[in-house]
Amino acid sequence: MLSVDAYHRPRSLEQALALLAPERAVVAGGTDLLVNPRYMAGVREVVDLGSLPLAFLEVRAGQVRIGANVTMAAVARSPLVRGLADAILSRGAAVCGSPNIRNMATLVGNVAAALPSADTPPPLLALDAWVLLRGPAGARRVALQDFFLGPARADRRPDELIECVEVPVPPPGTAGGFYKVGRTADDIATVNAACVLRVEEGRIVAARVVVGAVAPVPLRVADAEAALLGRAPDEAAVVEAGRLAVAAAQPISDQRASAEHRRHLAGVCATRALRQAAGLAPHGAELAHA
Amino acid sequence: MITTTAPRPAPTEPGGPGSALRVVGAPLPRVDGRALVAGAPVYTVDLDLPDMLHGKILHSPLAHARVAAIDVTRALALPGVRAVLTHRDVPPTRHATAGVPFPELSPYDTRLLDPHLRYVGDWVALVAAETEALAEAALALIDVAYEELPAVFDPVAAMAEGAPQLHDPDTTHPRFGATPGPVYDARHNVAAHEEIWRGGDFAAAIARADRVVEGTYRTQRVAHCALEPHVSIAQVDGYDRLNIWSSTQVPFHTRRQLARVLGWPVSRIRVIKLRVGGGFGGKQEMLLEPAAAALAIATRRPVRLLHTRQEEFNASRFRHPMTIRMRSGVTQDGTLLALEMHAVADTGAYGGHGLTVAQAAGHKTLCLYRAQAYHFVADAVYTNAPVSGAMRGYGAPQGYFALESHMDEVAAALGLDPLALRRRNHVRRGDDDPINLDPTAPEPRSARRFRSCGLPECLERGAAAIGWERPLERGRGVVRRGRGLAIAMQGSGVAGSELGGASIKMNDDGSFNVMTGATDIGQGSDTVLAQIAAETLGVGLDRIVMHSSDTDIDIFDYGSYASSTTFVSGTGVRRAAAAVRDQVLRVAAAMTGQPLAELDLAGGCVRSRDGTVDLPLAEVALETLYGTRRQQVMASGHASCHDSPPPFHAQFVEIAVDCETGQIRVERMVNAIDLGRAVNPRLASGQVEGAVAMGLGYALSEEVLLDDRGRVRNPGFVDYKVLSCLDMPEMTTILVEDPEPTGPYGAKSCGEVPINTPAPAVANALYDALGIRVRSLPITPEKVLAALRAAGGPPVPGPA
Amino acid sequence: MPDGSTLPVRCTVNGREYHWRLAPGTTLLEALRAAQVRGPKLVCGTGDCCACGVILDGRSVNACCTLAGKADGATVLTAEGLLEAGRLHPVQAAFAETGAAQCGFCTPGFVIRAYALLQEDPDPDEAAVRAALGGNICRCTGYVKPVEAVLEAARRMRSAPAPGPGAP
Repeated sequence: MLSVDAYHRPRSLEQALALLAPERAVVAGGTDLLVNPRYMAGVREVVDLGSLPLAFLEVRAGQVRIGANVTMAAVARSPLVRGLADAILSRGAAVCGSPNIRNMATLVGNVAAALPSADTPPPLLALDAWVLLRGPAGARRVALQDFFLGPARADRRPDELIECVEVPVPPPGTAGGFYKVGRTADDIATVNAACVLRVEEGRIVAARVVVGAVAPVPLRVADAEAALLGRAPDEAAVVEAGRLAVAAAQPISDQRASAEHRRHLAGVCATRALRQAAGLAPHGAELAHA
Repeated sequence: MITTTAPRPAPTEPGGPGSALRVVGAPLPRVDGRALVAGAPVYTVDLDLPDMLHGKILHSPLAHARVAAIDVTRALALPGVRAVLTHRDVPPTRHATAGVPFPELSPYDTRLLDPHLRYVGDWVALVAAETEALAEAALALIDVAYEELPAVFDPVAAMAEGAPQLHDPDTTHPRFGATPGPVYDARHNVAAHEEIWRGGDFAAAIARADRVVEGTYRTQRVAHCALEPHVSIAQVDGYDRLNIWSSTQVPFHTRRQLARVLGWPVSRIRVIKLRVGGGFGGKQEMLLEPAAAALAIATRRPVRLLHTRQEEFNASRFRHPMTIRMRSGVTQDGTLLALEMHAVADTGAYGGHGLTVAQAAGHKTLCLYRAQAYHFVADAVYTNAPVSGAMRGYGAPQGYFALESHMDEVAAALGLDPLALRRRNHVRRGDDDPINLDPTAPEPRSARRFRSCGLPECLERGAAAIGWERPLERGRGVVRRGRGLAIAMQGSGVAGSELGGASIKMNDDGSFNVMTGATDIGQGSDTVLAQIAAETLGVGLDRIVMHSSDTDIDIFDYGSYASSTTFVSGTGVRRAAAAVRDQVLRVAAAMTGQPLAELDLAGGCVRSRDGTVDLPLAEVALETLYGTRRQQVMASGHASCHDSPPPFHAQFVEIAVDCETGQIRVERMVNAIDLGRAVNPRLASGQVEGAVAMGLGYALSEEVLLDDRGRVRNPGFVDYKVLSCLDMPEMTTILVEDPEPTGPYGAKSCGEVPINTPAPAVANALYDALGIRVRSLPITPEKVLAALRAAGGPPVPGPA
Repeated sequence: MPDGSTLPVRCTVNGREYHWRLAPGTTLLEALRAAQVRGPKLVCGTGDCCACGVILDGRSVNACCTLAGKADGATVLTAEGLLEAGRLHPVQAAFAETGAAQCGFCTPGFVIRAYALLQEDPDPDEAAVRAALGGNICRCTGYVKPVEAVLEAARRMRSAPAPGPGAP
């Protein structure tokens, strides 16, 4: 039972926008809201987006657009999403919670929750995704990289909702990798990592390396990306990138792992994701709980 | 992933004339299965009484404090709140909550509401209101001034001079306080203490040894995680009797203890158990019942008290964490001479199961091995941690993690195969229990002789199934593999204790009601007991109607714990059924004019050996109920437990270790259990599979974490990691049947013994894989990596 | 403490129509249990065990972390609703016969997940079954027999296909 006084079911985007206010929580799947009290601070009413036409998952103008009502399950099985950089976003979505959760929780909700351990932000960041916000003043686009501000804090004003996430379709030949370590198979990530590599003529020409649960926000490891550019996608390169991920990590100790262990895993996960992208290891072949 | 159950020979009555069994030994579906799969409302949480109120408990936010002042005015003023009770409103009677027989081997250290609060979660006040939400809201309106006291969380620190004292000396049990036996040292927070010497001169045996091996092992606090939380509904009825519906393993012990706490006579209390959604020892405890009762008495309305999952983690019961020091002396050829264990158990804020669980760490384990001399010391120590209680295995999992890890260390020290070392030293059929003494004997005398022991066959078949002699593909890269084994024994009921059984009556159609106090908590005892009754009465399972358990109706039973139900209650059921059978045959002999000795029950009929009589039971029933030989065919049977014959278990595992992440994956597991006889092989293998799954969680992922103020850091399934089906190994379960002459149809038990082996087997496999020894549970990736670093770093990857 | 039962929810549960007026923050699990639909169980309340699993418009979800408002206009199916004229659904029959239910408290959730899986994939291999049940916690069985039950149910349903209630 959520302690709220009203439940709004707007039938149009305009109605929804008119309802948005600090004491009103936006609900798509609602799974986080019901289990995580931090999202209920100050909330007295809920606005359920379920009736809005935001269940689109489409390609438009070179972008895969994923609407606010698209569930994790739909993302995980979408051929469109599978086609992005070795399906790294599909894989992140597929290990987010249990099947029942993935049938209700949404990708946009996972982004809006802004938790550093979430499983879809690293692949989305590696794919240079954008967030399309809509508020009374109209729409604005924010690079996902600028969207996350801290644990459960993001660049969304109380009168805005996330209409969709947009993922630029990467150039052909873009490879990706995803790796997650949990305490058991069905677990929140102790650490996760996603990466994207583009190799031309034996040299890395584009690299994204993102590690989750090792910083207040999902962490783009700029040093690793820079170090990879121009190098051959070989074992030495990915190990070096893993070392830079360790150096960049600023993890905390909590009930899931110590900071030292997370820092160590930042390197392991980044390296393993990069090995996949570099063709040095099959996808998901290591002894992973995910 | 495959499960196999050993093909069984045609079951026969052990020692009997070879008459084939029909119902016992058959893998029949559960008698309650249909209701369970259909989602029927058969649990206490599904019961609504008219006009029922909802109770809530105000828990202590501090680990150690006194209630300096408490004001309930604001809470009572909230509309819809019907009662707020504090320590001033309930009887101050000291008692123990452990669901064990009278007189409890427990200090009477508990009060229903005590102004002295001893852990985060202890009870400050009780509320009843029209809705759960109102009751919850009322909690926040109770004004409490706490006087915080220094707290202690480490048992060793708690025993030191000057440590905060948790309990007063006068909580000593009235019967045992002043005598030897369970010693209670309040000043040093020792709830219970025991030291025993067995066999010959221990020091001499150590002196004769070629090698002395020592090690210290630590086990963690884990939670039962029964899916149905604790729940009790109390109602004072129109006859001024107290009715309690409760999710409990021990209805009769609870009735007795409630009578003490409330000051009501037993005759005015009725405890009813419906389907129970799992217990695992967590419900071998009077927990919510007295609180629900106090609220029902205060309001004169039915009151339901239901734990949230968070309360299950903050304020129920847990497995005792232990630190166990092992020492043994062996000859060069691997013969065990001296075996020593010193266990320090953290019993938390209260000591109900403190003595018996700490004792069990040695008493249930050391008797697995022959040695010339034994020494065992146990201390159960109070701390300001959540309360430890009974949990599946009851001290043995802690003891076996130490003992079976230690045996591998002994094997490694001697350069022996761990399997060979165990074969050389384990007890055999015909041995006397070297540890446990008969409490009724004037002179020291072993409590039991092992009349059945299928352990050699368990080891042989288990080793063959895992391929123990086959070389293992160990891996050369980041992932390394290893193999390990562990063995264990347990009991079947508590030796020298127990009472259980059933009354059985015949109905018009020749069906039978079996009314038993034995408590089915999911393990399937209703089904197994029905099979025993059906077998004895020569009918199919569909002719048996089970009732369990209601203290007004069903015969007295100690309840479901200590692997007692099949062995003890099953023996009682068999006796009751035999007496009913006798009554039926006497009526049938009179009806047919056949000699009694010529008649038998089979196929739902009375049959004569010569085939001339084939009388349906319904006809006998009609004759007894409406005919000329009127009587209620009915009998009761009971049994107690003289010597608790042990089931044996051997487990083999293969694991893979990721040397970079430290993760362990158990890839294969073989279980071989000697359970005497599987009354129902499908239910029996289910018990084994469930126990080893819980044991694997104990080995790898489960731990209740406390912060430095005694608060649980992971009070939910998000961060208390119970394993899922994705974490399970390929599992093979072999049922070995060495019929126990004292058991019903040869049965011993199987529900607890397999939980003992996964933790040491995994630890042993880790050593086999990488030469590292983790002596503390759970074996987390961080501990694996730390051990690897201590051993000089991860192995250098070889050529792929 | 808001207890204004102000939220209208119309839905069909196990073939029966309900018109509820609920407190706005009511979960689907609370609404169902208040309506005497007791198959779905409250176990963790945090979406971590799937004992409250129900089928909501064809998708299996955790009723404990689904707001009841989400069920407005929807069709809900629970373990009780799989019975047809008192006859067990093949998934339920397989669970009963293989010993996949011990205490049974998690079983309605397992049955619902298994049913959902077999609607999507009538011939799953063992890995697919395990993946589908990966979020369902059982403390009794060690999962051996529940997995066996789903594979057995799949065999039975393939040999005698019959659309279950609420099937799309």
